[in-house]
Amino acid sequence: MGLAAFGSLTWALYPRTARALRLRPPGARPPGEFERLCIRCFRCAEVCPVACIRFDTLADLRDTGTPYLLPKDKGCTLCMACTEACPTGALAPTSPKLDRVFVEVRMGEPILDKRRCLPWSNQGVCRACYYACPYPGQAITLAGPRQGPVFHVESCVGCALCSEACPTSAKAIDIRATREG
Amino acid sequence: MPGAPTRLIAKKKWTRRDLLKLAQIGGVGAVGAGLAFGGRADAVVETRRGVCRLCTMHCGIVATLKGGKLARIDGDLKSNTSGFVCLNGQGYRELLASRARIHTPLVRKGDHFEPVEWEAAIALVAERLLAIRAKKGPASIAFETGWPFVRHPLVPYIQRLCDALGTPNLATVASLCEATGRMGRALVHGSNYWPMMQKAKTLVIWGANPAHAAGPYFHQVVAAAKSPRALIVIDPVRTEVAAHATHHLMPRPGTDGALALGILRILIEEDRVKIPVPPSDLADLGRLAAPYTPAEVERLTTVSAQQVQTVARILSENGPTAIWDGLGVEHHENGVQTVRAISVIYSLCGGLEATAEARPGEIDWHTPEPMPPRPTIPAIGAEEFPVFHAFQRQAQKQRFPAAIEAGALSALVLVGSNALLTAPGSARLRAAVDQLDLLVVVDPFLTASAEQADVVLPATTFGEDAPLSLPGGEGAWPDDKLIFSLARALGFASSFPWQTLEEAEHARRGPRKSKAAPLDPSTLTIRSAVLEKAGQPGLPVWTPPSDAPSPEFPLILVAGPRTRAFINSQLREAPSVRAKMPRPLARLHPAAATARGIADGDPVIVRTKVGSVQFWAELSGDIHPEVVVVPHGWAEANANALTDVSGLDPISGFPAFRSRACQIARS
Repeated sequence: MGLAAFGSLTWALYPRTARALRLRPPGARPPGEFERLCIRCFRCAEVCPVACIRFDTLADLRDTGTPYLLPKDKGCTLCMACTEACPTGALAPTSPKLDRVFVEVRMGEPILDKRRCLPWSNQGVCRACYYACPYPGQAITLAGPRQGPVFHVESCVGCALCSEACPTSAKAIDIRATREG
Repeated sequence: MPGAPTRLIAKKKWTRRDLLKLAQIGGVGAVGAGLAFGGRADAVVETRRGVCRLCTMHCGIVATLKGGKLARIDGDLKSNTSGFVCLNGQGYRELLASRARIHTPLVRKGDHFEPVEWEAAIALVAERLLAIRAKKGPASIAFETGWPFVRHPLVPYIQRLCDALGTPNLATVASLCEATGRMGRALVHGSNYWPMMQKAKTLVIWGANPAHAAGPYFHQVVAAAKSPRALIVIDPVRTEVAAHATHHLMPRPGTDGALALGILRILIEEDRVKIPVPPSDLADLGRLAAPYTPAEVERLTTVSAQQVQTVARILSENGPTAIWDGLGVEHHENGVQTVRAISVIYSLCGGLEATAEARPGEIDWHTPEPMPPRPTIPAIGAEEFPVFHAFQRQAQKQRFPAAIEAGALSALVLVGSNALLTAPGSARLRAAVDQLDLLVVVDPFLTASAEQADVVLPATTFGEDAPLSLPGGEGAWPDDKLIFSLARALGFASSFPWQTLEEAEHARRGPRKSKAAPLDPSTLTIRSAVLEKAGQPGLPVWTPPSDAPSPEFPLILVAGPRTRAFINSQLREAPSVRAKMPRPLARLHPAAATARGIADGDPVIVRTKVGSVQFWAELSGDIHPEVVVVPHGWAEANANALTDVSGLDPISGFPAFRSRACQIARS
């Protein structure tokens, strides 16, 4: 039984509070199913080469000990090691080939705050997000007099490398977790 | 939050056992919170402003340090690069911390290196240089600086060291970068110049890719594409900047001079010349350009007759026109003459006067008085390339291999240069350095060149020096300390009494001169007496590349255009940059690939008359169907195994990196 049973019991007992979905590592099963499958073993974080995976507090018992990403701090380099390490399939094994990742991974959607974005708000020139993006020209294109980013949701895997790269004076990009996981 | 659990997390990798351990002391919540912060302990945050020196853009950067360690690099919004930092600048963090850094001087003992203390290493280098000088004369010693030293204030002091030693043989990247352009432009207008894009209604980008080579200013180029302005890009590859162009011409590499003469012919014959030109000059130019009819230009370049005519008209009707030409035009056997032809177009269509700003052609070589006298012995390459030598007053390093083979060069000091990868003709150079009595390499990493050295001196990277003073490079010395110490060990203490470059510059009194005389349009020189005196054609002739396509080598190799990831051979030690270009790719048109049974991603062999190298194929309709593009700077796929020093530009000595005949096949 152990923690897994405990987890599923708490899931049933605690009311669903309306809050923003956590940005899960790649390959995550849909919300609800993920929390049931995740046994809080922390192996995903152990194998992550860039230490982008962190764990939830006691604020909501349903999510305690489950992995999530903080986009503005550290993005996912799409190595898929966490999906290989997950023993229960809460993170489904996914090929790290970029063309497969493009099809199979949807961690979240990019949200751009143009008022904070350096080129769009005429504060400077940048393109850091474009350079960081694993799919430049698809997920991000550049436009306008200072070549500011235009995000294409349908081509974005939600890795948050753009959000991480965005300069500290701006931090104009967030990744909103989607229900797809 | 409690101190102890947080520090535990900050120091080691998190495991499940730790959670269980801490759960026993009721610290789960704290542990969770600690993990939520990614395990970062409370730390002092500090920012420092400086300039990135990985390339010549010198972007202003702001380094954020946490707990005394570099946490991130952002662009400096207050600098003239407006906050821009490229992928490579971001990757610099990884160079700082790289385990591949060298931490002590290394001296070769047989087939391995032994670590040596700095004082002993400097003394050894000095002793051996002095012995070589005594036995073979001072000119048998050469110093060569690389990319990090372009427009670097230390270079005049390296020149000073060479002068004190009595050797004329200082070479810099001017041997293969930008000097053709500077000289070509100065030969036509008396001074080097640069186009002010914002003043132009028509902007021509010829053989340049500002998206990669001038990142902080790329948005200005894109702005120039807005109508009613025209952006004309001339490049055999549909680059990112070509994608924004209103007109994109794709000539065969090395035929730009023919295209330029075709445009000049139209300007003259259709009476579109906008400035007064001495009739005899115009007649000479008209006679030179007469055979380059639109149909002939199409035959020679593959640019359609229609496009030649359209562009010539736009240049003269939609002015003022500005022309930015780059290495894509310079890295050919006919580079200088091609730059001249383009420069004449710039003038004749009336654009130069309106949009060009003079730039200094030479660096200011002054160091504190008294300066040691310049040696009178001619530098290597000075007799063969007298115009290059007159402009640059340096050695032409493409002739170093021949000098070594002839016994005229016995000691080479590479300062931030990875010549064994980046100089043309790697195989020959590699064999030649085996004949040297002494090879010294100054570099933060054990590069391909350092691996062959007798002595390796580990230098700091730019960020470790003032003003950024970032932690890193343990055991490495800054370049100024290194050069000045070597100078003193060679016995030149009276000429090098300073500890730092800053001290020396202070002693020099006064800022470095960087002004140029304003451009005088009346100095337009179509027939160059300087070139004729040097035995070269005075008019801007076009000659086809001598390594011409043949049945055995039917395609044209373009080696080493700037890529987004990497800067020459730098940044291989940065994983984030490697992730952007994990393999060296040979890019070719799908039609050329299909004809050879090559699919996207296939391993392929690219061959020239010099050698063969394996790459991985990338198929793209952006590439001219007769062209293969490969990157340079890869130790495991060295493009310079495909090049050599035949077919050098007879005026500048530049290698023909971008027009070699080649073949490509599945491997």
